[in-house]
Amino acid sequence: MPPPSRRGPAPWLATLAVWLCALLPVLLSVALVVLLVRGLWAAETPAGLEALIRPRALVTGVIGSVGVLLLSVAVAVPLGVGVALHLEGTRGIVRRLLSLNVASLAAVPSVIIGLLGFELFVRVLHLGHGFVVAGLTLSLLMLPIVTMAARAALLGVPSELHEAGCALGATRWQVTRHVVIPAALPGILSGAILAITRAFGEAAALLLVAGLALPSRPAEPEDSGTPRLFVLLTDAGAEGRGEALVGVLALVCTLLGLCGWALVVRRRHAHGRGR
Amino acid sequence: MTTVANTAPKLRVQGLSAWHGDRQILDQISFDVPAARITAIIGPPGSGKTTLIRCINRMHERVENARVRGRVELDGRDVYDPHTVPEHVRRRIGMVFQRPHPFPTMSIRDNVLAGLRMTGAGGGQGDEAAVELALRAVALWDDVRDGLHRSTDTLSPGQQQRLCIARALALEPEVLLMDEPCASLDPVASARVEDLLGGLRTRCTVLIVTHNMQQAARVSDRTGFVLDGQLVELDDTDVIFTAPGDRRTEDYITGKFG
Repeated sequence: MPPPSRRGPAPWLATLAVWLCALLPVLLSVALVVLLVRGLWAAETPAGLEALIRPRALVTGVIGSVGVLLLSVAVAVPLGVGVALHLEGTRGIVRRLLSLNVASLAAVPSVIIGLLGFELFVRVLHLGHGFVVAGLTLSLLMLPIVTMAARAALLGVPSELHEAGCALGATRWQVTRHVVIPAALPGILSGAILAITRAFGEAAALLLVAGLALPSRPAEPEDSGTPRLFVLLTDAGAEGRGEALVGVLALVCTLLGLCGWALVVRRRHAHGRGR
Repeated sequence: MTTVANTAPKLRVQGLSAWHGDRQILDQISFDVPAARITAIIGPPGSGKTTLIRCINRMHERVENARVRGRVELDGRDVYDPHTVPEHVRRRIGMVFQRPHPFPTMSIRDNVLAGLRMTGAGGGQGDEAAVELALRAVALWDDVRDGLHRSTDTLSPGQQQRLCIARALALEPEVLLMDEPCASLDPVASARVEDLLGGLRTRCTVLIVTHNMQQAARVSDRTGFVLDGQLVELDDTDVIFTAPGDRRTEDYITGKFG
């Protein structure tokens, strides 16, 4: 009996399995779109049809989400990088405690973050419900992710570059600003992308600060998309269904668009230093 | 090589000791560095040569648990004076490291200007002239004049090291410290860097650390021998290599150890 061939069926199976795995996300996306379209088709209520003709939900969802997101990025990214820089500067026990603190913050469930945002921004600071509070609450959610990514990126900058900058007579801050942060930028941007994708799909945190007020005034343009959809899909009867589904479609497209854009930005920065 | 004993010292090191944690690296080192000359510091690895020059521009103190005692006078003023700002010292005393580390996010041109920009002195009319002057001084101008905006990745290691020297020269330092600047380069690139050193003498005082004795003999006016954190002797280069005053120096340069 000849020895079993090494080029037998096993590589075939492996290739097939890998291909199936690679196709899985594509299949999932296709399934999502099919389900959405079918849902819209089935929503033969006046509201559903209206939503298709007059894309109020679409505009509301996208504008609200992008606005809230931009605000939270504008708050979380500079703060996160600042915290990461501070962690670099401290030594010993203080650094250990601080990084433990940041790591645990990243693990806090978003509902708790929502409660914190509600208590802090709505109850204590009286900022009201809506755009600003939603953005600030999301920035709380993003902060630990941005911080940890920025820290890893800063640690990855060779110490020789710090040395070279210092030897030119630059202060620590001048070296950080001109040499270290630019070198760490691709990593910092990756962290920001990660944080954005988490924050974008986040409904739970926002239900508390913005979402609770939604049913009473459903057409406010500043409402963020995801919590609004959550309310529409779970509470509303058939009348809100169509609007919600259009909204879901809009959110998925916006999310993909944002991720794509962020990846392009990141690539450009990585290339700028490359060749 | 001329005798330079009567030239006014640019740097005067007096009783310099340095520690890293509990470990003493330098022990009571004293010597003068004459202006506009090249002084080489030779010695076996781990003898404290690098620490010695890092103490001169106050880079040693950046290391955790590092300690320095003694005086380093630049034109008669102690760089360790409590009123002296370390950054000001480092602007007057430039440094080139063992391995070239151009700033990866900056173009060739911006690397040359980095020191000026970071300290807020660049950005004026003189930038282009400063870039050309510094790059000509390291014989890199003709190689890169058409690609000043390219990334430093396009340069060979030897070119990168010359760029790092240009980066230090752009600040017009009075003293240039070089920590084994050829150690990571191939012989051809190494020879090109050596060729530059003679020209640098007209611009600044050079203090170069090397474990390559032939290099010290070729490029320097004065040579000092450091062993186990102590300066065994420092004299004109031809004296050190032909008639050293100390037995240990003779053993080292004749290859009995090190």
